[in-house]
Amino acid sequence: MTIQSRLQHLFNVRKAEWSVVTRLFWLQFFQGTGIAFFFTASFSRFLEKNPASELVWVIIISSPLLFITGWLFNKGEQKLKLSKLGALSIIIMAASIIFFHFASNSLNGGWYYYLMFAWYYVLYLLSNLGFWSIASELFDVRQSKRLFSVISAGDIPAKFIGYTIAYFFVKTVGPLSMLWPAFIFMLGSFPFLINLSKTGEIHSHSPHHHSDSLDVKLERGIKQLIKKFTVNRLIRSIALLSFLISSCLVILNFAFYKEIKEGHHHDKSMSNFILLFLASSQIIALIVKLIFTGRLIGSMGIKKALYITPLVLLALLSIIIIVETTMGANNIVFYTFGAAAIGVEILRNAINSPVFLTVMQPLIPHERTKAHNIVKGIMDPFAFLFSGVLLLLLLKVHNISTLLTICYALLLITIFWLLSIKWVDKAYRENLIKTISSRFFSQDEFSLSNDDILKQIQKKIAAGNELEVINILQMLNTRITSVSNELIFSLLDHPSDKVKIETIHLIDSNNIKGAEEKLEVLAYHSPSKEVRFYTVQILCKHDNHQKFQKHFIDNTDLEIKTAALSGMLLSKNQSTVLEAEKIVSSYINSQDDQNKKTAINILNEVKDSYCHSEHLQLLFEAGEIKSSAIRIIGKAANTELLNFTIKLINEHRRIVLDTLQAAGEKSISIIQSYLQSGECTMANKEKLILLLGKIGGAQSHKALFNLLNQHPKDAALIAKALLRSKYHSTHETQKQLEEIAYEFIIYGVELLYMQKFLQPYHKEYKILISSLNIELMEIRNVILSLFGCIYDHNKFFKVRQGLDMEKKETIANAMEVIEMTVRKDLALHFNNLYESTDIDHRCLVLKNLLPESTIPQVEEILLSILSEKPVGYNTWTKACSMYVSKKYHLKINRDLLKNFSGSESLILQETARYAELID
Amino acid sequence: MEQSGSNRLLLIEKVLILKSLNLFKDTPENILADLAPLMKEKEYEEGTVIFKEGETGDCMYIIHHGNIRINKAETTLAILKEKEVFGELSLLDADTRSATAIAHSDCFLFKIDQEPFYELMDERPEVAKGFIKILCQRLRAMNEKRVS
Repeated sequence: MTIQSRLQHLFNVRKAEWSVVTRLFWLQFFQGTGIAFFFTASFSRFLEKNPASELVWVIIISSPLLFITGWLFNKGEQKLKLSKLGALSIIIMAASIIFFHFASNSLNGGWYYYLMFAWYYVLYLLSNLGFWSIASELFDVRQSKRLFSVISAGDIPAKFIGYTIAYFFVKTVGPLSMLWPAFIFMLGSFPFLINLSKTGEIHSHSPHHHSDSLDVKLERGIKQLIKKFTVNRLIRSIALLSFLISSCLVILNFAFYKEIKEGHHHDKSMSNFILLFLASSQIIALIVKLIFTGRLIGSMGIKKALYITPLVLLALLSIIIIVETTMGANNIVFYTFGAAAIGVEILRNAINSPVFLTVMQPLIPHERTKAHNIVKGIMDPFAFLFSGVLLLLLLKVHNISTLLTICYALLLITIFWLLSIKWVDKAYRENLIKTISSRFFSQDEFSLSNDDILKQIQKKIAAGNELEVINILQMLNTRITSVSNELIFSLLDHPSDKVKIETIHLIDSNNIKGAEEKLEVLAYHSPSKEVRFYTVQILCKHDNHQKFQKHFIDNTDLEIKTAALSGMLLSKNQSTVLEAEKIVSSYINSQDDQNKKTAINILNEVKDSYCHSEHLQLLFEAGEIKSSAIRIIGKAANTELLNFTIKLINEHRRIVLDTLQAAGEKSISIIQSYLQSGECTMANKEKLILLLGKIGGAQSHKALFNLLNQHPKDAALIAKALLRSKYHSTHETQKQLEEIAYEFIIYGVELLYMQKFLQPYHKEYKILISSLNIELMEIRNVILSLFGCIYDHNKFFKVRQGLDMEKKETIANAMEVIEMTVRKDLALHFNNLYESTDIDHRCLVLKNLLPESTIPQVEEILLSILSEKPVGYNTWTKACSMYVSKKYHLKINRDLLKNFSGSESLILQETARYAELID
Repeated sequence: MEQSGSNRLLLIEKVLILKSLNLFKDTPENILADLAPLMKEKEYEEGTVIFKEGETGDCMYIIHHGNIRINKAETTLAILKEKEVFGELSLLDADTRSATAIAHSDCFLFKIDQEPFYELMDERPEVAKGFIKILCQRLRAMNEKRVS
């Protein structure tokens, strides 16, 4: 293993990412060192001339400077490409550093020191904005979780080196001389930016000026600011969290410097103490960040990782408050406060910042940049202003004689910090789902309650279009009252035939009385055939006094006759049903095909409510009558009819499948028996198992689980069927399904190893490698189906969409959802298996799950495929194996080929026969 | 003159031919394996008219060997070469041919008829899905072209 690959392994960086990561690291390193030198110079000079309490004013002055810088950067992003903006930032930073050096000779007023120290915050912001804008464009959400800690770590050794050198040299060469190395280091970052630009990655991102420039035109100042916050809930919650964190840190740092000042009366010894503190805290942060942060976020998840810093701070603040109020021990308080300042500084650098940036990754690039600008460009200045004013007030009111007051203020802010993490996490999850797919559904409800609404509805019925009136009808259907009945009857006079028919159906299904007169008029006089048909049907169905039946069944119009007889078959009056049955029987047994067709039409009308005892006879007919007789089998079908129908599957597959689906739950036991009868072909088996899923419901779930237990080899099909049936696992079945998912991951890994083995022979075995890829995708879909059943159907539908889109961002978001939802080990292995990195890396990380066995020959892969190990393969994969064996003269068991030469699949049959031929 | 193909290709080889076409390059081979049995091998001598402008189209062609000239009235619109397809829209939609196709040299083509293709789509929804995906990709590409 080379040093580079060892480092990649240690820092959890993929081979393909290494060059970008190292360049970003060095970019951050050089800028960070430059800023550390500038800090040393500005901080030492400030403390030489001013008491530490004056730092409050630096904080307050920083606020507008940061705001303006953030605003200008935002403008720059709208106008320039990121690489150009980055370059411009470096030039401005370097120029400003050297400006302060030369200006020190001519500008010696007090304000110069305030401005110079406040400028340190501006440089820090500008460097941060430029760096993270580039980094967030280069990596997706999953990469960012692993890599942000590493790339941002460049800042830490930079600060460490800067502060350490400053510690040794500031006394001898003077703080102002530190500005020269600051300038050189800042310019030193330039080549790395150019190098990154050359890769093309950041060139591809255009300035975000389209929507923004419009925004600027429409809304200015405060309005635009407000709009920025209302864009996205995640941005709002991130902004709040950022404000709270920054406020905490500013107050904490101020109080710490103030305490040290009291401990070190000499300014230089104080600044040395601070530099030593900063240097040591940076090196600890570096170690934590490089080695632990990425893995910590991976194992803990974002929410828990965000909690670490405020919880540590809360604990330390509580200790300080308890000790101060009970013991009044100043030393313990000072050291605990020191520990809090150092601890929070380390945790902020090592954990909080990278996690925070990861949270922004699900946002679309444009919104992500916006979020970053809001956090750094707007919330940080506000936090500085807020903290500065708060400290100033505390200074005036309490004179800050003890740390206690500050601790209480910090405690309060920390509690809000903890609460806001919950909001951020919620918004983060919502955004992840939303980014995969942006489909939204809404439902409106209507209710009939008072006179005003009634009048409005009447008005709508009179003037509304067809669709509006049908919507009203559906609303009326939700609660039938005397008021609603009147409205329903009035709809029978509506000019639209569609409205009339819908109203007739509604009157029928709710058995509403009182509309007979209107219906009679329609039955005789409506110009629409369809309206007449349904009116006759309903009149004959509910005609207890046989006022209409006799008249309509003797009608010469076949349609009216069909309507009347189908209405009578649906009647609750037994004698009416018997009378109609007799007539339909005579049609079924008639020698005239037209009569048979009339019987079919009648039975079709009632298929879900009534099954004629002689329906089966129609299935013995030939041609169109037979296929129509199958088609009209519905939910009311009896077992005998369905048993006969399923046996026609080879002859009329499509129609039989549709019919079984239409028959619904009644088909389930029939399908089950047929699958176990041994008569079922492979192709039909696949269709019938999926059909069980389409039918759905508790019975279908039971049937599918029975099949799963009896035929575990069909697990892939059954998993898809379970998902199709919207099955949701119970506590008992969850374990079973998780185990199956685990098994499929193992199968997937075996296939991946096969692919890896074949890679060097890519030219010869291209079709085999490609077919294994199709198998891997099939396995992926099976596993996602299982996850859908175990966890959440909708979520995994979107996950699948995200993966299918095959875009870096959507894949990363989908995998993030998996990681947050699925059992930890399953999620980890699944993501390792399907991550879009090189095959060598995937195999390497999956070694822990399944040792990579040495496959000495291609023949063994072909043998595995043809003997269906470890899992059943697609027809195509098996055909490819046989084809390859023949083409490249590979020796495989001839008995295996014989099995396929009699296959029901044409391609398998043909390829097996070809492969069997002796050269 | 139209002739039937003599050296019959294996279905698996037909799948590989389909996969090599631009039209099906993103369609998985296991779906193409369902389409391959519908490929009829046809040989045409140079100068044979394969279809005429204005005729109702009900099939698509894939050029395995040879060149096809596409004429509109007297004007030659294109000379199609190996691994190119023509008349592909007729697989889904029966409309009149917008141009005439003539064998520019001796040709070996594959013909896929509309009706068995419809039956296949009915039987194997995956094939229909694959085709819908292709159409969507074309539509998107056209939209993007129009926008840019």
